[in-house]
Amino acid sequence: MLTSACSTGLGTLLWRHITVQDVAMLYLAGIAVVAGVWGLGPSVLAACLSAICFDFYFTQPYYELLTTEHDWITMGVMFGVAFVLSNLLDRLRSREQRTATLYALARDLSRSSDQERILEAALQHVHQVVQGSSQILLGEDLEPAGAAQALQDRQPVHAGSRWYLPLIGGEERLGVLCIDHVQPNRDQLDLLQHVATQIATALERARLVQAREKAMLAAEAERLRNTLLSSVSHDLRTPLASITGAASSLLDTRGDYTVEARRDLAATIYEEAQRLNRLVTNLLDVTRLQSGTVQLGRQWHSLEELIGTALSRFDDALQQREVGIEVPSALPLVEVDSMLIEQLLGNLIENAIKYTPERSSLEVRARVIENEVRVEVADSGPGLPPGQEERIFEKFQRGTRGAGLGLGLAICRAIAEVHGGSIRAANRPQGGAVFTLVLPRSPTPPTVKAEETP
Amino acid sequence: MSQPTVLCIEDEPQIQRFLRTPLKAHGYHMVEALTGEQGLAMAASEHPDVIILDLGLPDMEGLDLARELRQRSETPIIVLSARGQEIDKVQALDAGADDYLTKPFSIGELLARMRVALRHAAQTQQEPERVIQLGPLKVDLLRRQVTLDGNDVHLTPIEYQLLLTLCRHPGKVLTHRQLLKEVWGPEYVEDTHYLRVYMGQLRHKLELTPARPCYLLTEPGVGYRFAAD
Repeated sequence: MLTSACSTGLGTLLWRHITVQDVAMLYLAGIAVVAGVWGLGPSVLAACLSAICFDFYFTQPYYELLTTEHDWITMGVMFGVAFVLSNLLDRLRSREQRTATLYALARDLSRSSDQERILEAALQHVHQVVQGSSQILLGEDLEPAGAAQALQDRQPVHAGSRWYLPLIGGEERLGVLCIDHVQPNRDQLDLLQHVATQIATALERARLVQAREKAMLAAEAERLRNTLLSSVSHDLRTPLASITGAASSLLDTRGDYTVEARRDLAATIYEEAQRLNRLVTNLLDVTRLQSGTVQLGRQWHSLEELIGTALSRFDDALQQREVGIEVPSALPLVEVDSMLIEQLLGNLIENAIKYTPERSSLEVRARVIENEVRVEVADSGPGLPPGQEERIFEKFQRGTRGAGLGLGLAICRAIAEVHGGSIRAANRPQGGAVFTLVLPRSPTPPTVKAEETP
Repeated sequence: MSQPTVLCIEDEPQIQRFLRTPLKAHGYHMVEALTGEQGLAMAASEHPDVIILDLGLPDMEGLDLARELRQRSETPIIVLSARGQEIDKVQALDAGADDYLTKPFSIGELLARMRVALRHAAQTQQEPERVIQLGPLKVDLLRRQVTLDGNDVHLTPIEYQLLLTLCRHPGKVLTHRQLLKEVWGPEYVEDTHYLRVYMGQLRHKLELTPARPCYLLTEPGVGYRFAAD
C-alpha cells in the first residue's frame, strides 16, 4: 500500500514532465518491488490498488473511476503485466528460498559425523519447511505399512495423516522421514524429497566414518597385541626360569644343600611367583583397559585406606625401609574404582622399590589443592634420567633395571585418565623421583549424618 | 578336637595336591570333593569341622553351593576365588560363608583363616566374651570402655558400636553390608561411605599409623577385619 502511495506521489510530482505511460511504468516498478520482497499476495493487492489509483488520478476523467476505452486497455495490460511479474518474482523468491534451505541443510549436515547430531539438524530443517511433528525412523524393515511401502517404491507415501519419505543413500535403504499432520503442496513435497536425499547421504557418510574408525581401532589393537605377545614371551619366562631352577634344585637329592640353602631356594620360588602374579595382573589390566571392557565400578573410598592396602602388598619388601606417610585426616573421599587405583599405587610403589637402593626411604603424601586431590609417591633413589619424564609412561619402556613388561607406568596413566585424572613424574630437588597422581575432587561428596550427642 | 576334619571342594587337582601336605602337617584330616554335587554329599556324610569351597567350580554356582551348605549346617565355610571375582566373594560371604581367600594365596593365610573359623564355631557354644584384648588395645564390653596402653580412648557411640562389631569376631572378615546393617541399620546397606569415614576415624584414634593399621584391617572390595592375635 505504501508503495502505491509512493508511486502515486511520485507520479503527481512529475505529472507535468512525463506522459501517462511513464506513470504506469512507475506503478509497475512499485508492484515489482512488492512482489520481490513480500510475495504474491501482497503484490496482487498492490496491483489492484495501483490500478485504482492510476485510474483515479491519472486517467481522464481525473478523480473519477470511469475512464476512456483506451485507458481501460492500458490499465488492463498494466494489471496483467503486474500479475505475471508478481508471479515470476514470487517463484524466483521461493526458488531462492528453497536453494537457501537446501544449502543450509547441507552445511549443517556436513558439520557432524555423529548420527545423533545429523538427525537433530535434519529435523530442525524439516520443521522449517513444514510445520508438523516429524521424526526419522532408521532401519530397513519398518513397522508402519506406509514406511515399508515408501522404502519399497522409493517414493513418498501418504498414509492416514502421515507422510513417509524414504531415505535412500546410494543403494542402501536407511529409513524414512515421517511427518504428521501436514498437507504439503507440490513444491514443498518436492523440497522435502531433496531434503530426504541429503539426509540419507549424510547418514551414509556418518556410517562410513564410523566404520573407518572401528577399523583403525581394530588395527591398533592388533598391533598392540602383537607387541604384547613378543614382550610376554621374554618377561614372563624370567620369573618362571627362576622358579623352575629353584624348585628343581630343591628336588635335587644328590647335592649337599644346607637347611639355609634350601630355605633360600624356597624363598626365591615364593618371591618370583608373587612377581609373576603382579606381571600377569598388569597384563590383564592393560588388555581390559585397552579393549574398553573395563566397567568402572566407582564407589566412595578413602585414599588413606587405598594407600594402606597398596603398601600392605609390599610388606616384606618394605621391612628394610623407612616409609613416611602423610595423609591429612580430613582428606575428602574420592569416587574411584578401588581395585584399579590400588593397582596404580602398587605399581608406583613397586617401581620405587625396584629402582632405588635397598634401604632407601619412601614417602607417600596426599593432599587437596583447590579442586584436585593429589597423591605423591616419592623415593630417594637416583631419580629419573633428565628429559625422560614423559617417555617413561609409554608402553614397553623399561628402566635400567630391566625386569617387568614395562607396562606398569603405562597402566598407571591409563587408570588415572579413565578416572578423569592424570599422572606425571618429576625429579625432586632433594634427590629421587616423585610420581604425582591427580584426581578430580568431587564437588558433591557424600554426606554422613552427624551423630546425635547423647 | 583331636583331628579336625576339613572338606576341600576344589576341582583343580593341583590345588588339592598342594593343600594335602601342609594340612596334614598341621593336624587336619582332609577329605576331598572334586565337584559341587560330591561336595554336598560329603558334607552330609563326613560332618567336616570346616569347609573350603572354590567358587570357580564347573558344575555348580559357588554362590548356590555356599547357600546350600549353610542351609544344611553351621559348619564354617571358607571360599576361594580368583582376582576379578570380587562380587562373587562378597555375595558368598553375605550368603553365609565365613571367610575368603584370593588365589594365589599362601598356606599361612589359609591356616590362619581356618583357625579363626574353628575358634568362632567353638565359641558360639560358650558365653560371649566380656573383655577383648589385643596388644595394648583393650575393649571392656561390660563397662563400654576402650583403652590403649591403659589410657582411655573416647569413642562416639557409633564408633564404639563399629569397633565392637568388629572385635566380637576377631580374625573374621565382615562385609560392608554386614557392618552397615549391624551398626547403622538395614536402610544403610548401600552407603559404604559411612564405613570409609568411620573406619578412618577409628584408625586415627586407635592406630599408631592410621594408613598402615595393625588392628582394623581392610579387606579390599569386601569389608573389614579385626586382627586376630
